[in-house]
Amino acid sequence: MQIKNQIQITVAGKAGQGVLSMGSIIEEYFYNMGLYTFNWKDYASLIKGGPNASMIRVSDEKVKNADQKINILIALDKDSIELHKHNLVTNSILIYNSVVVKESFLSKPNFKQKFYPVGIPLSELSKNIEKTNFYINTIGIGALLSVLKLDISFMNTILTQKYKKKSEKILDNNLRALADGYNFIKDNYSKVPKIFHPKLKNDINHILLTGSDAIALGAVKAGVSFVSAYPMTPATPTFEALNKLSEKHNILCLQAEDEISAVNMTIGASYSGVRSMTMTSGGGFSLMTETIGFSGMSETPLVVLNAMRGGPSTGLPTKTEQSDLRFVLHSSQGEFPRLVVAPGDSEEAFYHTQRAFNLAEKYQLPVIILSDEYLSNSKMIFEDFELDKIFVERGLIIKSAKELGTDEYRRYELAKDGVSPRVLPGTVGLITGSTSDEHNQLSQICEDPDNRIEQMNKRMSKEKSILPEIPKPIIYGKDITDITIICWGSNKNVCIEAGRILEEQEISINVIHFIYLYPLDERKLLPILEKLNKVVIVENNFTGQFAGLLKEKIGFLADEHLLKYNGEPFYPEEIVRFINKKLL
Amino acid sequence: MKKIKSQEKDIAKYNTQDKPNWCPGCGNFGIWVSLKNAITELEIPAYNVVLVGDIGCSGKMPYWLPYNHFNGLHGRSIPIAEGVKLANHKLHVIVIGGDGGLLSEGLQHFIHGAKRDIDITVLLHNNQLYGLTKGQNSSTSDKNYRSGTSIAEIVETPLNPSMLAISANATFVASGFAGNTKHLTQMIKQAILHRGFSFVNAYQPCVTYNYINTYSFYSTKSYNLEDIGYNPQDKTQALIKSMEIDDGDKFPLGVLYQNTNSKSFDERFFKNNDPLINKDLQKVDISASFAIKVKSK
Repeated sequence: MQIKNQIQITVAGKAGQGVLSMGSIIEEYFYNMGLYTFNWKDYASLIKGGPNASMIRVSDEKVKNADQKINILIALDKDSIELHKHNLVTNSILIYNSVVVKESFLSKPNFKQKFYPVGIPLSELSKNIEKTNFYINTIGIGALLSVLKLDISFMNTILTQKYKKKSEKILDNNLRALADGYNFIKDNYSKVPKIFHPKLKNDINHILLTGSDAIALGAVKAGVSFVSAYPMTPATPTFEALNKLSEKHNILCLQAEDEISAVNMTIGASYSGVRSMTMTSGGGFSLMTETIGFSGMSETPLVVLNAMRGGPSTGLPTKTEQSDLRFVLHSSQGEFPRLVVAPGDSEEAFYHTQRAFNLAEKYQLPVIILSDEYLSNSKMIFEDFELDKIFVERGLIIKSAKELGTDEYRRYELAKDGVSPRVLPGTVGLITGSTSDEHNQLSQICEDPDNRIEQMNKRMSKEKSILPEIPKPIIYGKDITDITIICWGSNKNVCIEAGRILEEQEISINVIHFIYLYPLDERKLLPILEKLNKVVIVENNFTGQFAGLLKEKIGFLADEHLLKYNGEPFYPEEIVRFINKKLL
Repeated sequence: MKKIKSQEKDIAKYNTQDKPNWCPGCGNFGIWVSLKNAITELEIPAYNVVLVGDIGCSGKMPYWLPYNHFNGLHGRSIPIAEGVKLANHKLHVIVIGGDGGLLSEGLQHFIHGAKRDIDITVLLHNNQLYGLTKGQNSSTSDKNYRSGTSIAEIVETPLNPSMLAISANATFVASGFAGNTKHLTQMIKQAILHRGFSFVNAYQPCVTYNYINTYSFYSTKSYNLEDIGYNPQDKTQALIKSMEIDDGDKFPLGVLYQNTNSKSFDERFFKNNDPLINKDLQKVDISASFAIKVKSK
């Protein structure tokens, strides 16, 4: 079923006008009312001046992805109207700053659709409070609540919590700004219709998290104790979230001099036996690649988050893309096993980050978590974590010479599944060694051809022995349908929504979503893929990287490819249009 | 200064199948002997020592010593060592690297390592060229040294490792010579006992390729700082003294600089002295670490 009772509120203005904080306040309001929200921000790579937008979808049903269509636009400047007007739907509401925008601008030919213009002198009202434009965003929030005919007292509580720490004056001014905005609309625009009628639900435990926060929490739950990173958008919020939680959970978060140092400190800590992690985006991951291979060769567990942005090179720092899949699959010279995990949303990001640590330690290999700007920065609401379903599995670690039964420990002893037990440095009476050179079982440098084959086979066999841990892709909808959308990572929920819209058109459709991208288990995938009829693979990149992987590893060919690489995430309508045009 | 606990004396057994394959007469042998002597004299149990190897002739040294090893990538031994140490600060972590790894490929880690002041010991095997790849110039090569990769008419001045370390706020900086193992042993011992980033620049003659910086070169041009009543606590004097090598005539050996008042990164961070490795991963409770709305009207 399509989501019926929903609106999208877009707050737009210049960077520095408080657009993003306004978005979180509005979101928090609806969250506290027991509604579902999805909040995504579109921002530029600068601190003051350029266009920023915060997009909040609100519904009494679950909303888990971004949409383009705007029901209410709060434009703090004139440029924002130009930028977003084509997304205003029929009967939408435009709240604009009447000090900077003339009413004549809002008529044809500028606008084709019917909408309600709601002019409010934001700058003037702000200057009445204090001689500054500082309060236009809070006045805008007041105007929004008034237009939606919603309770203002609840917002007073949220603002009080937010501003009481700053100063009494700032709090008072914000409360006044809220009331001024609210009253101005009430006095001047009482005839604007109420466009949102949500059903409020009770007794639900809800969590509100960005992808970045969810990854951080997953790592904390996994017991991460050491984090080292170098700031890079859009991975930095995860680093900052971990740093915020570090004192409570005894985690050392250290900003390194560069990504090379960060990943090497991380692997050093892992060698000592603590759970460690680093995070970056594609550019920083480029610098880390040699250590990915070092992890593979030395069989030292390593967890790395790559929050992708538009590439190549410096690329699009604040925009989203899924173009690093092939890169992380092949990063570093030589051949070694690795695991690539791409959660679909905040909820999955929590569980699969936690699991990434288990798999890295159990199989002693690098695990790369692929997020992207869209997943990392978008905030969604979901039901409480099922914490009793989470376990810490550390793999084989020998804790004493007695347990080993001998004092001659072989770090790289040949094992059927390729996994030989670890001894951590500092274990009384035992000595351990790990190395980047090709080595024999005792971790001594060794160039003997027979030994090379033995150790290569040992390492590579882990790619097979890990397969039972790799879950099947999840099918959303019926098993057999006329049309199937295949997607991975953060495209999960938008594809599911597109599928629902198409089902309303009585089209038989399902969605197959991949979280675990490598290694792929042919025996699990073939029975699923063989049954499919018409298939479109949806990806945020130019070359169809995952489609290429499916072709290479499984021999699977899709009928169509829907690819987007303009820096924005997919919107449901785009997928619906594409399928209507190409597959029907 | 660190206290080594006496119950840590039982040295673990370890099979090092292989013996060093350095060229006969290589300066690495002198450093090898000095390092073993230092750890043995300090009675540190082998299982509490981690050697982090870099690449090249010196980088193989951990394979031929009876301690834990983690042999990493070229130039990255310092951050690896920092991670090893911070995860379990009860370990004694020693970086084994050459002038290529520590002063070219990984120079940023050297400077930031000194600045960060984590309690690791960095032992520079300074042979002033790339030995294992057959003698190319390194960042500490003598300005008159010419190799298969140098441009004949271009003269580059060598980097000064000790001056770099002192100016980057390293809290212990010393020089030694592979040809004087008794003295070098003392330098390594003091470096290990120092709490903080300790750096030992060990001059290591490469008997195969380095025709300038030979055993006799250092025997004639080096002198012991202790013999002149030098005070290593004065940082300005230490900087001046460290620059003496720039003319290529006099090489002071001994402790150039030590700051005994500062507290290392790990001393400041691990206030209750409990290593991160002791954290109980099964008992992480995140229930209070995120906002959750429980609605019950």
